[in-house]
Amino acid sequence: MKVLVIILSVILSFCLPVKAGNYSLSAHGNASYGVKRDDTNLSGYAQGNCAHCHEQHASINGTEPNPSSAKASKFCLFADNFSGTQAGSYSQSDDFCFYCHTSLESLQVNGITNKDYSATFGGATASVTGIMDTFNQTSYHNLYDVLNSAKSYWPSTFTADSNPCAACHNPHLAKRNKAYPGDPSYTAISKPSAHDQLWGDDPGERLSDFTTYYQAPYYYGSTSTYEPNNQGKPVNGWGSNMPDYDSFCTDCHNSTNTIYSTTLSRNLYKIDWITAGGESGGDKHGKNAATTGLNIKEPFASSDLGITTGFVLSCLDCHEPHGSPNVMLIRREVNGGNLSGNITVFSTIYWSYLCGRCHKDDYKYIHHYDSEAPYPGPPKGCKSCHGSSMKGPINCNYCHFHGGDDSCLNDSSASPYCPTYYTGRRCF
Amino acid sequence: MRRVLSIISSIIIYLVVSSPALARVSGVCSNCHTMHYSQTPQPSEWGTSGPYQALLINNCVGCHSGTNTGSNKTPYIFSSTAPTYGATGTEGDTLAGGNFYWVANGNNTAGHNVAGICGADTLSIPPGFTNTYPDIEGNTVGGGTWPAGQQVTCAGTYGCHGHHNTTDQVKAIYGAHHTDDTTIDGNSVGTSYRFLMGILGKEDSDWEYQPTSTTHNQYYGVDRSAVPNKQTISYLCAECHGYYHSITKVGTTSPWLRHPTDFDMNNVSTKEYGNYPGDGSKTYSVIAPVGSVDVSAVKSQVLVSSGDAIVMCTSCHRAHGTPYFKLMRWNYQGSSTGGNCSICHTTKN
Repeated sequence: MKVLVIILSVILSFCLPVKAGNYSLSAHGNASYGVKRDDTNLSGYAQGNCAHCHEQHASINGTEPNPSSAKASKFCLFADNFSGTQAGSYSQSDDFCFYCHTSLESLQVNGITNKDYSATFGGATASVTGIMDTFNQTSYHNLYDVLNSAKSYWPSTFTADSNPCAACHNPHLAKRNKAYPGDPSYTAISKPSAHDQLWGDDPGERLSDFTTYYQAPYYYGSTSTYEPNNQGKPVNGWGSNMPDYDSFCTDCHNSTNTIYSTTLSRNLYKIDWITAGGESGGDKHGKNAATTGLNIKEPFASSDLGITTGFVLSCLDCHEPHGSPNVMLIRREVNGGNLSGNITVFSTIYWSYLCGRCHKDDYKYIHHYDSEAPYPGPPKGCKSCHGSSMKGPINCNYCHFHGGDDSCLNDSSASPYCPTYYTGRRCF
Repeated sequence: MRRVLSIISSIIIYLVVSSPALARVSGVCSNCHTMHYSQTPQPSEWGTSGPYQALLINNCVGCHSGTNTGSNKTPYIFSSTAPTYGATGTEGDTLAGGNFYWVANGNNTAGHNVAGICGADTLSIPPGFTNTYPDIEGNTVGGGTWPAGQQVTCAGTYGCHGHHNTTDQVKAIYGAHHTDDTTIDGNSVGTSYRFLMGILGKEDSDWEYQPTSTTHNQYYGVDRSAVPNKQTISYLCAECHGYYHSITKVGTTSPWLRHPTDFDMNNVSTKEYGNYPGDGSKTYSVIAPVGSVDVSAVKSQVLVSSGDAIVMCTSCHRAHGTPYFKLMRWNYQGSSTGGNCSICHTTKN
């Protein structure tokens, strides 16, 4: 009987409507710094009030405040959610959020400053100060693709009318993490699979819950403090002071979802951040571990985790969430310092700008002279891989990318073709 | 003898029980009428601009000015001194429609700018005005046009009460006060909800003086459709503010272009609206009320069955006035969260 009651209680709990949220605790609903549209027709409305985003009758007091589109928008918003544009650069009218979240002509009274992740949580000098500005760089999360993916995988939550930003943020819940970079209870993100709740605010949603092998990288310019808040090791362990970004990002970017990139005109590489198993497992920057020794820099080399391999990285250790001056949303600052230069194309030797922030940047030693080098010797017949000039490194991206290995050596249709040296090593 | 006593008792019980349902005026004629408008000294309750039509002692506003006590037989919708409204107008001395006091005392956006109560609005026409919402008699407000500067009136062509095809306000509601309105059928002004021609609903006997979940008006509402029901309380508003009720201007389902009215929250009860009025108890909220298809009885519980939780204009607004911007029931404008919006939008608190 008792079991029956418990079962019925569980069933009933699923039937009940969603529990109340708390807009007043969100960044947008805050009475001091919440939404406040800069228009005389709205001057009497309290900061945080619904009317700053929603016009219940497509007008205020008989007129339409700025921006005036002379039409009503869905969700009673003051402008359309998304223009549907398939590529940047973006303008304010492309995405409703950009009307305020931009450094130029923000509708928010006194504007809003939103820096990129490298600055906000990494400590780098700000290069952009608005969300729209972060998108309008070399690479960006393509909003058209974001919405398409969200619609595809969570059709009951996201529709053609949704705002692409809502795939990662719930505007009625998102908090001001930027003001509390080391306190994930102020998280700004919601998983697309759980749009009605924040991600990272509750126990069990921190990166330290995803892995015990996370070592936070250095904060910008420091060798004693760490991301995301320029402090020492958090009391509850590395990664306990940030949302579990790995589970968050892999809600979409996982080993099963097929995500088409309009920008790249191809499907994105699938990312297996979970599977262990060495060369038959997933990415070694994820829960899979390196099968050989690493030549890594601090703070990893002397990490108090007591390991020299097997670190699990946060996606945001390397990637910006919105946009970046590098391809693939690669951060401009990693592990305490800026990249030596911008990585402007995918096929390049300059991935070393990124990898070298954590790995000792001696490609020749690593590939040919280290005791566990994959191509020791180096082998004869350099031209096979390095081309006729035989000078310098070859493009990193032949082997090093999410899910990558050195199987390019087996491809007779393209250089480098040298199947003799194929190792089958997973190279990421 | 016992049979006679029984009959007398039955009559007494009938009168006692049935009286509250008879909202037509009662009492001596001189409470409202004067034969010659010549009494000296003139009683204080008389208007000073007489004589008045229908031998009345005052005009609409004059008769309906005063302070509500909960036992007054005339509903007072205008007070010369500030009424006690409180935060939501449910615990003070105002009634369901609110009070014109605030709009008449400098707060231009706090009420309908009714002629005879206050000056003209700064708005030239009612927001959202369209000529496509004739009442149940086929009459359109203003004959379909609203001249710039025309003030809204209590009744008549540009008014809410009575016939829209009658310019004279008294004629527009002629006989309504004396009509037996035991049954509100919308067939005449007198048998329409609150003399709003064609509108249905159940009238609270004290016009919602300090209402509770068990004692309140039961507003008529119907889930929206391409052909609107002309007898809902929201349709009454649409007769002037049509855009805010229109299928094309509002939509038929989320995402809405404008906040919906005449929409059944039962359609979305699996979402946050199922937690109405915030605690999920589904208790009728007198702060943000909902209408129903069935108005035969007061509903204390809603979201019980289809058609019992209809979003209305009056879910958020009061028809006459409040202390707040745009006649809102609560101080929406002054709240960072929209205040009592969260009674329906339960996750937006």
